[in-house]
Amino acid sequence: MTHLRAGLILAVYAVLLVVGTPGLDHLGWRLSSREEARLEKRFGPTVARVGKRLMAFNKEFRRPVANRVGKFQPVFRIRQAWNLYRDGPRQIYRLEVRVDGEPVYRTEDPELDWLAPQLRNRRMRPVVESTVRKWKSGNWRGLSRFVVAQARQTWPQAERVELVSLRSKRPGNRPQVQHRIIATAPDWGLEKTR
Amino acid sequence: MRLWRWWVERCERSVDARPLATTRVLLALCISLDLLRVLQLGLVPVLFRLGEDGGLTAFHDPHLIIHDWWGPSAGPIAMTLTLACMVLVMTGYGTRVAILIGVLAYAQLGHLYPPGDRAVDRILRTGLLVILFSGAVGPWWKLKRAQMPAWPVDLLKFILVMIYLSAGLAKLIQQPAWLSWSAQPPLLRIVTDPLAAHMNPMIWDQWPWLFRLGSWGTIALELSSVLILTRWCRRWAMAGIAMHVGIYLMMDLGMFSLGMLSFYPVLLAAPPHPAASARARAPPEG
Repeated sequence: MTHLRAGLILAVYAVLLVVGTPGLDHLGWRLSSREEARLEKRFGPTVARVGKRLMAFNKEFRRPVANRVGKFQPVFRIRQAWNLYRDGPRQIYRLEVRVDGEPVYRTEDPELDWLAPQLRNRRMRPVVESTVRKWKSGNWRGLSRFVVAQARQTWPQAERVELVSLRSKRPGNRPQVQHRIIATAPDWGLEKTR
Repeated sequence: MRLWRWWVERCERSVDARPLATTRVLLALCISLDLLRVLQLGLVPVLFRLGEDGGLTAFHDPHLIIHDWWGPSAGPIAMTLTLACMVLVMTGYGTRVAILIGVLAYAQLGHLYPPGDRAVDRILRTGLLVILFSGAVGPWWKLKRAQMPAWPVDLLKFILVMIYLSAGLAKLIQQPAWLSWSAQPPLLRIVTDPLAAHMNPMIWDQWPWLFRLGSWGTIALELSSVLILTRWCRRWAMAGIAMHVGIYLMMDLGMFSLGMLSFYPVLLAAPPHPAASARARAPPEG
Protein backbone atom coordinates (compact mmCIF):
# COMPACT_ATOMS: atom_id res chain seq x y z
CA MET A 1 0.00 0.00 0.00
CA THR A 2 2.79 2.43 0.89
CA HIS A 3 4.50 1.71 -2.45
CA LEU A 4 1.27 2.18 -4.36
CA ARG A 5 0.65 5.47 -2.59
CA ALA A 6 4.22 6.64 -3.21
CA GLY A 7 3.79 5.77 -6.90
CA LEU A 8 0.54 7.70 -7.15
CA ILE A 9 2.05 10.73 -5.42
CA LEU A 10 4.98 10.65 -7.83
CA ALA A 11 2.52 10.54 -10.73
CA VAL A 12 0.73 13.62 -9.34
CA TYR A 13 4.05 15.50 -9.15
CA ALA A 14 4.83 14.50 -12.74
CA VAL A 15 1.44 15.64 -14.03
CA LEU A 16 1.68 18.98 -12.20
CA LEU A 17 5.19 19.53 -13.50
CA VAL A 18 4.14 18.83 -17.09
CA VAL A 19 0.97 20.94 -17.07
CA GLY A 20 2.52 23.86 -15.21
CA THR A 21 6.23 23.87 -16.05
CA PRO A 22 7.44 27.29 -14.91
CA GLY A 23 8.39 29.59 -17.78
CA LEU A 24 7.61 27.32 -20.71
CA ASP A 25 4.09 28.66 -21.27
CA HIS A 26 5.63 31.93 -22.43
CA LEU A 27 7.84 30.38 -25.05
CA GLY A 28 6.62 30.65 -28.61
CA TRP A 29 6.35 27.70 -30.97
CA ARG A 30 9.60 28.30 -32.79
CA LEU A 31 12.48 30.76 -33.08
CA SER A 32 12.51 32.70 -36.30
CA SER A 33 15.94 32.96 -37.93
CA ARG A 34 15.98 36.65 -37.02
CA GLU A 35 15.22 35.94 -33.35
CA GLU A 36 17.82 33.19 -33.31
CA ALA A 37 20.43 35.55 -34.76
CA ARG A 38 19.54 38.20 -32.19
CA LEU A 39 19.77 35.68 -29.36
CA GLU A 40 23.09 34.42 -30.67
CA LYS A 41 24.46 37.91 -30.97
CA ARG A 42 23.41 38.84 -27.45
CA PHE A 43 24.08 35.66 -25.48
CA GLY A 44 26.24 33.46 -27.72
CA PRO A 45 25.59 30.36 -29.82
CA THR A 46 25.12 27.97 -26.88
CA VAL A 47 22.23 29.92 -25.40
CA ALA A 48 20.62 30.25 -28.85
CA ARG A 49 20.93 26.49 -29.38
CA VAL A 50 19.49 25.72 -25.93
CA GLY A 51 16.61 28.14 -26.57
CA LYS A 52 15.83 26.47 -29.87
CA ARG A 53 15.84 22.99 -28.34
CA LEU A 54 13.71 24.14 -25.41
CA MET A 55 11.12 25.47 -27.83
CA ALA A 56 11.16 22.26 -29.82
CA PHE A 57 10.76 20.25 -26.59
CA ASN A 58 7.90 22.49 -25.52
CA LYS A 59 6.13 22.20 -28.86
CA GLU A 60 6.69 18.54 -29.62
CA PHE A 61 6.56 16.96 -26.18
CA ARG A 62 5.37 19.08 -23.27
CA ARG A 63 2.35 20.80 -24.78
CA PRO A 64 0.86 17.66 -26.40
CA VAL A 65 1.36 15.68 -23.17
CA ALA A 66 0.03 18.56 -21.05
CA ASN A 67 -3.06 18.81 -23.22
CA ARG A 68 -3.68 15.09 -22.78
CA VAL A 69 -3.00 14.69 -19.04
CA GLY A 70 -4.40 18.09 -18.08
CA LYS A 71 -7.97 17.37 -19.08
CA PHE A 72 -9.05 17.21 -15.43
CA GLN A 73 -8.23 20.91 -14.91
CA PRO A 74 -11.36 22.58 -16.33
CA VAL A 75 -13.63 20.42 -14.14
CA PHE A 76 -12.18 22.03 -11.04
CA ARG A 77 -11.08 25.17 -12.89
CA ILE A 78 -7.52 24.79 -11.65
CA ARG A 79 -5.42 25.48 -14.74
CA GLN A 80 -1.82 25.46 -13.55
CA ALA A 81 -0.61 28.61 -15.31
CA TRP A 82 0.55 31.38 -13.04
CA ASN A 83 1.20 34.63 -14.88
CA LEU A 84 0.72 36.83 -11.86
CA TYR A 85 1.08 40.58 -12.42
CA ARG A 86 3.72 40.88 -15.10
CA ASP A 87 3.39 44.62 -15.72
CA GLY A 88 1.18 47.63 -15.10
CA PRO A 89 -0.30 50.11 -17.60
CA ARG A 90 2.06 52.73 -19.04
CA GLN A 91 -0.66 55.38 -18.84
CA ILE A 92 -3.07 56.28 -16.09
CA TYR A 93 -6.66 55.22 -16.66
CA ARG A 94 -9.70 56.16 -14.62
CA LEU A 95 -13.42 55.61 -14.90
CA GLU A 96 -15.75 58.54 -14.36
CA VAL A 97 -19.53 58.26 -14.06
CA ARG A 98 -21.60 61.36 -14.76
CA VAL A 99 -25.30 61.73 -14.07
CA ASP A 100 -26.91 64.61 -15.99
CA GLY A 101 -23.40 65.96 -16.58
CA GLU A 102 -22.38 65.92 -12.90
CA PRO A 103 -19.51 63.58 -11.96
CA VAL A 104 -20.62 61.19 -9.20
CA TYR A 105 -17.82 58.63 -9.36
CA ARG A 106 -14.18 58.79 -10.33
CA THR A 107 -11.65 56.01 -9.74
CA GLU A 108 -9.70 56.60 -6.50
CA ASP A 109 -11.35 59.95 -5.82
CA PRO A 110 -12.56 60.00 -2.21
CA GLU A 111 -15.01 62.82 -2.95
CA LEU A 112 -16.65 61.08 -5.90
CA ASP A 113 -17.29 57.66 -4.46
CA TRP A 114 -20.84 56.78 -5.49
CA LEU A 115 -20.91 52.99 -6.20
CA ALA A 116 -17.19 52.75 -5.35
CA PRO A 117 -17.46 49.55 -3.24
CA GLN A 118 -19.19 47.77 -6.12
CA LEU A 119 -16.96 49.08 -8.90
CA ARG A 120 -13.78 48.38 -6.86
CA ASN A 121 -14.83 44.88 -5.87
CA ARG A 122 -12.25 42.38 -7.08
CA ARG A 123 -14.80 40.47 -9.15
CA MET A 124 -16.11 43.60 -10.85
CA ARG A 125 -12.69 45.23 -11.34
CA PRO A 126 -11.55 43.22 -14.42
CA VAL A 127 -14.68 44.30 -16.31
CA VAL A 128 -14.20 47.93 -15.25
CA GLU A 129 -10.54 47.75 -16.33
CA SER A 130 -11.26 46.35 -19.77
CA THR A 131 -14.15 48.78 -20.36
CA VAL A 132 -11.95 51.75 -19.45
CA ARG A 133 -8.83 50.65 -21.30
CA LYS A 134 -10.20 49.06 -24.45
CA TRP A 135 -12.60 50.39 -27.03
CA LYS A 136 -13.51 46.83 -27.96
CA SER A 137 -14.01 45.40 -24.49
CA GLY A 138 -16.22 42.35 -24.31
CA ASN A 139 -18.42 43.26 -21.37
CA TRP A 140 -18.98 47.02 -21.67
CA ARG A 141 -22.71 46.56 -22.26
CA GLY A 142 -23.17 44.53 -19.07
CA LEU A 143 -21.21 47.03 -16.98
CA SER A 144 -23.03 49.99 -18.49
CA ARG A 145 -26.43 48.38 -17.93
CA PHE A 146 -25.51 47.84 -14.27
CA VAL A 147 -24.27 51.41 -13.71
CA VAL A 148 -27.28 52.92 -15.49
CA ALA A 149 -29.72 50.81 -13.46
CA GLN A 150 -28.02 51.84 -10.21
CA ALA A 151 -28.01 55.52 -11.23
CA ARG A 152 -31.71 55.46 -12.10
CA GLN A 153 -32.41 53.87 -8.73
CA THR A 154 -30.41 56.56 -6.89
CA TRP A 155 -31.59 59.49 -9.03
CA PRO A 156 -35.06 58.58 -10.41
CA GLN A 157 -35.30 61.95 -12.21
CA ALA A 158 -32.03 61.48 -14.10
CA GLU A 159 -32.12 61.76 -17.88
CA ARG A 160 -28.55 61.03 -18.90
CA VAL A 161 -25.88 58.71 -17.52
CA GLU A 162 -22.35 58.61 -18.90
CA LEU A 163 -19.44 56.25 -18.30
CA VAL A 164 -16.32 58.13 -19.29
CA SER A 165 -12.92 56.53 -19.85
CA LEU A 166 -10.20 58.97 -18.83
CA ARG A 167 -6.62 58.48 -19.93
CA SER A 168 -3.55 60.53 -19.19
CA LYS A 169 0.20 60.30 -19.40
CA ARG A 170 1.98 59.67 -16.15
CA PRO A 171 1.75 60.93 -13.50
CA GLY A 172 -1.89 61.35 -14.44
CA ASN A 173 -2.70 65.02 -13.79
CA ARG A 174 -4.04 65.84 -17.30
CA PRO A 175 -6.77 63.33 -18.03
CA GLN A 176 -8.41 63.31 -21.43
CA VAL A 177 -11.54 61.53 -22.52
CA GLN A 178 -10.65 58.36 -24.39
CA HIS A 179 -14.18 57.16 -25.02
CA ARG A 180 -17.58 57.37 -23.40
CA ILE A 181 -20.73 55.31 -23.10
CA ILE A 182 -23.94 57.33 -22.97
CA ALA A 183 -27.43 56.27 -21.95
CA THR A 184 -30.32 58.73 -22.21
CA ALA A 185 -33.97 58.68 -21.17
CA PRO A 186 -36.53 57.53 -22.00
CA ASP A 187 -35.30 54.35 -23.71
CA TRP A 188 -31.86 54.26 -21.99
CA GLY A 189 -30.23 52.66 -25.00
CA LEU A 190 -26.41 52.54 -24.88
CA GLU A 191 -24.27 54.51 -27.28
CA LYS A 192 -20.47 54.36 -27.37
CA THR A 193 -18.52 57.32 -28.75
CA ARG A 194 -14.91 58.45 -28.90
CA MET B 1 16.08 1.01 -5.68
CA ARG B 2 17.66 3.15 -3.00
CA LEU B 3 16.11 6.21 -4.60
CA TRP B 4 12.68 4.57 -4.55
CA ARG B 5 13.08 3.63 -0.88
CA TRP B 6 14.03 7.23 -0.12
CA TRP B 7 10.89 8.43 -1.92
CA VAL B 8 8.60 5.96 -0.12
CA GLU B 9 10.07 6.95 3.26
CA ARG B 10 9.74 10.62 2.37
CA CYS B 11 6.06 10.16 1.56
CA GLU B 12 5.50 8.28 4.82
CA ARG B 13 7.11 10.80 7.16
CA SER B 14 4.66 12.19 9.67
CA VAL B 15 3.80 15.77 10.55
CA ASP B 16 1.55 17.61 12.95
CA ALA B 17 -1.84 17.89 11.23
CA ARG B 18 -2.66 21.30 12.70
CA PRO B 19 -0.71 23.63 10.37
CA LEU B 20 -2.43 22.13 7.33
CA ALA B 21 -5.75 22.18 9.18
CA THR B 22 -5.15 25.89 9.85
CA THR B 23 -4.58 26.40 6.13
CA ARG B 24 -7.80 24.49 5.46
CA VAL B 25 -9.77 26.78 7.79
CA LEU B 26 -8.18 29.95 6.39
CA LEU B 27 -8.78 28.97 2.75
CA ALA B 28 -12.45 28.24 3.45
CA LEU B 29 -12.71 31.48 5.43
CA CYS B 30 -11.26 33.52 2.55
CA ILE B 31 -13.72 32.03 0.06
CA SER B 32 -16.64 32.53 2.45
CA LEU B 33 -15.83 36.16 3.26
CA ASP B 34 -15.25 36.96 -0.39
CA LEU B 35 -18.63 35.54 -1.40
CA LEU B 36 -20.38 37.19 1.55
CA ARG B 37 -18.91 40.53 0.45
CA VAL B 38 -20.41 39.99 -3.02
CA LEU B 39 -23.73 39.27 -1.31
CA GLN B 40 -23.43 42.35 0.92
CA LEU B 41 -22.78 44.61 -2.10
CA GLY B 42 -25.85 43.27 -3.87
CA LEU B 43 -23.75 41.98 -6.76
CA VAL B 44 -24.97 38.36 -6.86
CA PRO B 45 -27.66 38.90 -9.54
CA VAL B 46 -25.20 40.95 -11.59
CA LEU B 47 -22.09 38.80 -11.40
CA PHE B 48 -23.46 35.28 -11.17
CA ARG B 49 -25.92 35.46 -14.03
CA LEU B 50 -25.37 35.15 -17.76
CA GLY B 51 -25.56 38.26 -19.92
CA GLU B 52 -28.65 36.91 -21.65
CA ASP B 53 -30.35 36.71 -18.23
CA GLY B 54 -29.39 40.30 -17.32
CA GLY B 55 -25.92 39.59 -15.89
CA LEU B 56 -22.70 41.48 -16.45
CA THR B 57 -20.70 39.22 -18.69
CA ALA B 58 -21.49 38.32 -22.25
CA PHE B 59 -19.23 35.26 -22.12
CA HIS B 60 -19.08 32.09 -20.06
CA ASP B 61 -16.89 29.01 -20.18
CA PRO B 62 -17.95 25.92 -22.14
CA HIS B 63 -17.58 23.85 -18.96
CA LEU B 64 -20.51 25.62 -17.34
CA ILE B 65 -23.14 22.93 -16.74
CA ILE B 66 -25.25 24.21 -13.85
CA HIS B 67 -27.03 26.72 -16.07
CA ASP B 68 -28.53 23.78 -17.99
CA TRP B 69 -29.83 22.39 -14.70
CA TRP B 70 -31.04 25.44 -12.86
CA GLY B 71 -31.29 28.25 -15.43
CA PRO B 72 -30.84 31.84 -14.17
CA SER B 73 -30.91 30.59 -10.55
CA ALA B 74 -27.73 28.56 -11.13
CA GLY B 75 -25.41 31.28 -9.80
CA PRO B 76 -27.18 31.91 -6.48
CA ILE B 77 -27.60 28.14 -5.96
CA ALA B 78 -23.90 27.42 -6.65
CA MET B 79 -22.92 30.28 -4.36
CA THR B 80 -25.13 29.01 -1.51
CA LEU B 81 -23.74 25.51 -2.01
CA THR B 82 -20.17 26.80 -1.94
CA LEU B 83 -20.82 28.82 1.22
CA ALA B 84 -22.46 25.86 3.00
CA CYS B 85 -19.57 23.58 2.03
CA MET B 86 -16.99 26.13 3.20
CA VAL B 87 -18.68 26.31 6.60
CA LEU B 88 -18.36 22.52 6.84
CA VAL B 89 -14.72 22.69 5.71
CA MET B 90 -14.01 25.24 8.44
CA THR B 91 -15.69 23.24 11.17
CA GLY B 92 -14.18 19.97 10.00
CA TYR B 93 -17.40 17.97 9.74
CA GLY B 94 -17.87 15.99 6.54
CA THR B 95 -14.80 17.81 5.32
CA ARG B 96 -13.83 15.60 2.37
CA VAL B 97 -17.28 15.57 0.78
CA ALA B 98 -17.65 19.31 1.52
CA ILE B 99 -14.32 20.11 -0.16
CA LEU B 100 -15.22 18.09 -3.25
CA ILE B 101 -18.70 19.57 -3.66
CA GLY B 102 -17.57 23.05 -2.59
CA VAL B 103 -14.69 23.15 -5.07
CA LEU B 104 -16.92 21.89 -7.89
CA ALA B 105 -19.61 24.49 -7.09
CA TYR B 106 -17.00 27.25 -6.76
CA ALA B 107 -15.49 26.21 -10.10
CA GLN B 108 -18.94 26.45 -11.69
CA LEU B 109 -19.24 30.01 -10.37
CA GLY B 110 -15.95 30.70 -12.14
CA HIS B 111 -17.21 29.14 -15.37
CA LEU B 112 -20.36 31.25 -15.07
CA TYR B 113 -18.47 34.53 -14.59
CA PRO B 114 -14.88 34.03 -15.86
CA PRO B 115 -13.63 37.63 -15.46
CA GLY B 116 -14.14 37.47 -11.70
CA ASP B 117 -12.43 34.12 -11.22
CA ARG B 118 -8.78 35.01 -10.87
CA ALA B 119 -5.52 33.15 -10.29
CA VAL B 120 -6.05 33.29 -6.54
CA ASP B 121 -9.32 31.39 -6.89
CA ARG B 122 -7.51 28.67 -8.83
CA ILE B 123 -4.80 28.56 -6.17
CA LEU B 124 -7.36 28.21 -3.37
CA ARG B 125 -9.21 25.42 -5.17
CA THR B 126 -5.92 23.61 -5.87
CA GLY B 127 -4.97 23.90 -2.19
CA LEU B 128 -8.33 22.58 -1.02
CA LEU B 129 -8.09 19.61 -3.40
CA VAL B 130 -4.70 18.66 -1.92
CA ILE B 131 -6.15 18.95 1.60
CA LEU B 132 -9.02 16.68 0.52
CA PHE B 133 -6.53 13.78 0.37
CA SER B 134 -4.70 14.72 3.58
CA GLY B 135 -5.20 13.80 7.21
CA ALA B 136 -5.97 17.42 8.21
CA VAL B 137 -9.70 17.01 7.75
CA GLY B 138 -11.31 16.40 11.13
CA PRO B 139 -12.77 18.89 13.59
CA TRP B 140 -10.17 20.94 15.38
CA TRP B 141 -10.48 19.24 18.79
CA LYS B 142 -9.70 15.85 17.23
CA LEU B 143 -6.49 17.15 15.70
CA LYS B 144 -4.83 18.05 19.00
CA ARG B 145 -2.14 15.38 18.89
CA ALA B 146 -2.87 14.07 15.42
CA GLN B 147 -0.06 13.17 13.09
CA MET B 148 -0.56 12.67 9.39
CA PRO B 149 1.56 11.69 6.38
CA ALA B 150 3.72 14.59 5.24
CA TRP B 151 3.17 14.18 1.49
CA PRO B 152 0.22 16.64 1.22
CA VAL B 153 2.35 19.30 2.90
CA ASP B 154 5.24 18.51 0.56
CA LEU B 155 2.90 18.63 -2.44
CA LEU B 156 1.47 21.99 -1.38
CA LYS B 157 5.00 23.36 -0.99
CA PHE B 158 5.86 22.05 -4.46
CA ILE B 159 2.78 23.77 -5.90
CA LEU B 160 3.73 27.04 -4.19
CA VAL B 161 7.22 26.79 -5.70
CA MET B 162 5.66 26.27 -9.14
CA ILE B 163 3.40 29.30 -8.62
CA TYR B 164 6.10 31.70 -7.43
CA LEU B 165 8.69 30.44 -9.91
CA SER B 166 6.24 30.72 -12.81
CA ALA B 167 5.28 34.22 -11.72
CA GLY B 168 8.94 35.29 -11.54
CA LEU B 169 9.88 33.76 -14.89
CA ALA B 170 6.77 35.17 -16.59
CA LYS B 171 7.73 38.65 -15.37
CA LEU B 172 11.27 38.34 -16.68
CA ILE B 173 10.34 36.79 -20.03
CA GLN B 174 7.62 39.28 -20.82
CA GLN B 175 9.04 42.42 -19.24
CA PRO B 176 12.85 42.57 -18.86
CA ALA B 177 12.50 46.01 -17.18
CA TRP B 178 11.97 44.12 -13.91
CA LEU B 179 15.77 43.95 -13.69
CA SER B 180 16.62 47.22 -15.39
CA TRP B 181 18.75 49.91 -13.73
CA SER B 182 17.22 52.73 -15.74
CA ALA B 183 13.77 51.85 -17.15
CA GLN B 184 10.59 52.76 -15.32
CA PRO B 185 10.09 49.96 -12.76
CA PRO B 186 7.10 47.73 -13.59
CA LEU B 187 6.32 47.55 -9.87
CA LEU B 188 5.77 51.33 -9.88
CA ARG B 189 3.32 50.99 -12.77
CA ILE B 190 1.50 48.17 -11.00
CA VAL B 191 1.06 49.78 -7.59
CA THR B 192 0.15 53.20 -8.99
CA ASP B 193 -2.51 51.96 -11.39
CA PRO B 194 -5.64 53.66 -9.98
CA LEU B 195 -7.87 50.90 -11.30
CA ALA B 196 -6.18 48.29 -9.12
CA ALA B 197 -4.13 50.05 -6.46
CA HIS B 198 -4.11 52.87 -3.91
CA MET B 199 -0.74 54.55 -4.44
CA ASN B 200 -0.94 58.01 -5.98
CA PRO B 201 1.22 58.17 -9.15
CA MET B 202 1.68 61.93 -8.74
CA ILE B 203 3.55 61.32 -5.49
CA TRP B 204 5.29 58.01 -6.09
CA ASP B 205 6.53 58.68 -9.63
CA GLN B 206 9.21 60.80 -7.97
CA TRP B 207 10.65 57.81 -6.14
CA PRO B 208 11.42 55.30 -8.92
CA TRP B 209 14.50 53.89 -7.17
CA LEU B 210 12.30 52.70 -4.32
CA PHE B 211 10.22 50.63 -6.73
CA ARG B 212 13.32 49.52 -8.65
CA LEU B 213 14.54 47.97 -5.42
CA GLY B 214 11.09 46.53 -4.90
CA SER B 215 11.09 45.08 -8.43
CA TRP B 216 14.45 43.39 -7.85
CA GLY B 217 13.28 42.13 -4.47
CA THR B 218 10.11 40.68 -5.98
CA ILE B 219 12.06 38.83 -8.69
CA ALA B 220 14.64 37.62 -6.16
CA LEU B 221 11.91 36.34 -3.86
CA GLU B 222 9.93 34.61 -6.59
CA LEU B 223 12.95 32.98 -8.22
CA SER B 224 14.31 31.85 -4.85
CA SER B 225 11.05 30.12 -3.97
CA VAL B 226 12.78 26.75 -4.43
CA LEU B 227 14.08 27.45 -0.91
CA ILE B 228 10.60 26.42 0.24
CA LEU B 229 11.72 22.84 -0.38
CA THR B 230 14.79 23.23 1.83
CA ARG B 231 15.55 23.93 5.48
CA TRP B 232 15.46 27.65 4.60
CA CYS B 233 11.71 27.43 4.17
CA ARG B 234 10.75 29.40 7.27
CA ARG B 235 13.15 32.24 6.48
CA TRP B 236 11.87 32.44 2.93
CA ALA B 237 8.32 32.46 4.31
CA MET B 238 9.06 35.55 6.41
CA ALA B 239 10.08 37.43 3.24
CA GLY B 240 7.00 36.05 1.46
CA ILE B 241 4.76 37.35 4.26
CA ALA B 242 6.36 40.80 3.94
CA MET B 243 5.67 40.80 0.18
CA HIS B 244 2.02 39.81 0.56
CA VAL B 245 1.43 42.31 3.37
CA GLY B 246 2.94 44.96 1.07
CA ILE B 247 0.62 43.96 -1.76
CA TYR B 248 -2.33 44.04 0.63
CA LEU B 249 -1.50 47.57 1.80
CA MET B 250 -0.69 49.02 -1.61
CA MET B 251 -3.24 47.35 -3.82
CA ASP B 252 -6.93 46.63 -3.97
CA LEU B 253 -6.95 43.01 -5.05
CA GLY B 254 -9.55 41.69 -2.64
CA MET B 255 -8.54 38.41 -1.08
CA PHE B 256 -5.36 37.79 -3.11
CA SER B 257 -2.88 38.45 -0.31
CA LEU B 258 -5.03 36.85 2.38
CA GLY B 259 -5.57 33.78 0.19
CA MET B 260 -1.84 33.38 -0.41
CA LEU B 261 -1.03 33.97 3.26
CA SER B 262 -3.48 31.18 4.13
CA PHE B 263 -0.86 28.73 2.85
CA TYR B 264 1.88 30.07 5.10
CA PRO B 265 1.06 28.03 8.24
CA VAL B 266 2.45 25.00 6.41
CA LEU B 267 5.59 26.94 5.49
CA LEU B 268 6.10 28.14 9.04
CA ALA B 269 5.43 24.76 10.67
CA ALA B 270 8.13 22.52 12.10
CA PRO B 271 9.74 20.19 9.54
CA PRO B 272 8.39 16.60 9.33
CA HIS B 273 9.63 13.82 11.58
CA PRO B 274 11.38 10.84 10.00
CA ALA B 275 9.03 7.98 9.13
CA ALA B 276 10.53 5.67 11.73
CA SER B 277 9.54 7.93 14.61
CA ALA B 278 5.85 7.55 14.07
CA ARG B 279 3.83 5.78 11.43
CA ALA B 280 1.50 8.23 9.88
CA ARG B 281 -2.06 7.94 11.02
CA ALA B 282 -4.77 10.17 9.71
CA PRO B 283 -7.42 11.26 12.21
CA PRO B 284 -10.91 9.91 11.62
CA GLU B 285 -13.19 11.90 9.39
CA GLY B 286 -15.65 13.98 11.37
